[in-house]
Amino acid sequence: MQKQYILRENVIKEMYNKNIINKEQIFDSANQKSYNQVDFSQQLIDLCLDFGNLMLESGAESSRVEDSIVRILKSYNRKSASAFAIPTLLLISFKNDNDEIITTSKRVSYIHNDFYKLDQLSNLSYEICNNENISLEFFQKSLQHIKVSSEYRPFTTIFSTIIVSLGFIYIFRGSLRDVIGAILTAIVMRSTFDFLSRKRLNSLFINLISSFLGGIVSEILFSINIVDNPSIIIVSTFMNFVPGIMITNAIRDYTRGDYTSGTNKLIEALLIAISLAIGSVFARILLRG
Amino acid sequence: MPLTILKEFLASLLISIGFSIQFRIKGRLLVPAIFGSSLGWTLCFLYNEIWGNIFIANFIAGCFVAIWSESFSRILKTPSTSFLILGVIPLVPGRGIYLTFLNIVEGNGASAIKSGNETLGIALIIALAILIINSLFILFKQVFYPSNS
Repeated sequence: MQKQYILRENVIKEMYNKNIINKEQIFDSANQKSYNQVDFSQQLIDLCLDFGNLMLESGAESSRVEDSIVRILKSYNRKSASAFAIPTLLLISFKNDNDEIITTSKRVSYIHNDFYKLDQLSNLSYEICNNENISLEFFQKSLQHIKVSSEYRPFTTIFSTIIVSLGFIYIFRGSLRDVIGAILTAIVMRSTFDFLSRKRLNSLFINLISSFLGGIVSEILFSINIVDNPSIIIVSTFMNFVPGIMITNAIRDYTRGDYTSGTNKLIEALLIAISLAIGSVFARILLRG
Repeated sequence: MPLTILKEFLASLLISIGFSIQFRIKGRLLVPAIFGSSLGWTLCFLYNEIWGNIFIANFIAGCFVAIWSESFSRILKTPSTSFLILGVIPLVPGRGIYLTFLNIVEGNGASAIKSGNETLGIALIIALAILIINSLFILFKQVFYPSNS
């Protein structure tokens, strides 16, 4: 039963080091047989739902989520496994050994991007599919471990926003005096964005308001003659908020033929880009007349 | 000219480091991701400087980024999404979107159409590049490793 166990730089190694799991807990066929069949299926589908939800939340495209879930279910020998994912919904179903269909669904509402989490999740699914009889206990503990992985402090995101804006100031050929304007605008836009995001408001409104405030700041700095090109400042700051992830994932969904989720993301990306532009343009019109 | 290219490269390196913090790309993914992104932008800039066609420049950069991310996702056994997204972001025509709407609101119909056309063209051509490369990789996978698919 002992298959070759691949230790890569991943969740499992980390969990070994922190003594969260030991080796006996990873493969135990004995434990699986002691489960009631129905209980086992229920627990498996809950874990898969959790897994898919985490994956969608951390910015994976739909076909990847569907593929991973189906592969995990198949590695546990479930029959007619199928999964369906769009950015707002996740559906999983399979047949257990008594030919009863087990199905479940979840509304996914909150998407943030965390590619470290995504990498860990794909490692986990890789481990499960390449080793037989990975215990559900291990699956659950790894998911718990991935779920609580660290969040950045507000200061770090503001700092990264400033870095990005400075890079774009050079690329759009802003002057040296624009740098200070870009820093201030980036701070205002990112703190507004983070504050409103924590309130879980509509993403269009969040982008509209934060780019409006950013536009106000840069136009005020221009009118008291601190910066030269307010439009360059605005553009380089709002490149931070351009929905690049959604656009890219939409294209990749179209490649796989997932037109529903592709269109879903594309429309959202388009509306976000438009609301960003309208917010800053409105600020400019308001202050310059 | 070489100095300008180096400066562009460093600026885009700065951008991709910033985005890698925002998207939480760390560990073994970090170095390939940021270099793919900044090389892609430098390629786009270089082509645009020499031949002066912004659309073909973006197409080539998009192809480069897509090939880079697909290759590294196979080498490191990780989703290619993280590399691809970081690479595409400097190419996204944010300035064009802003200028289009500025022109619309200010009533310059002709300039709005001009910048709108360019924005839409760049966005579509990047999408096309990713689509082609992605499909080619899927095709190669199915031709050479038919059992895995």
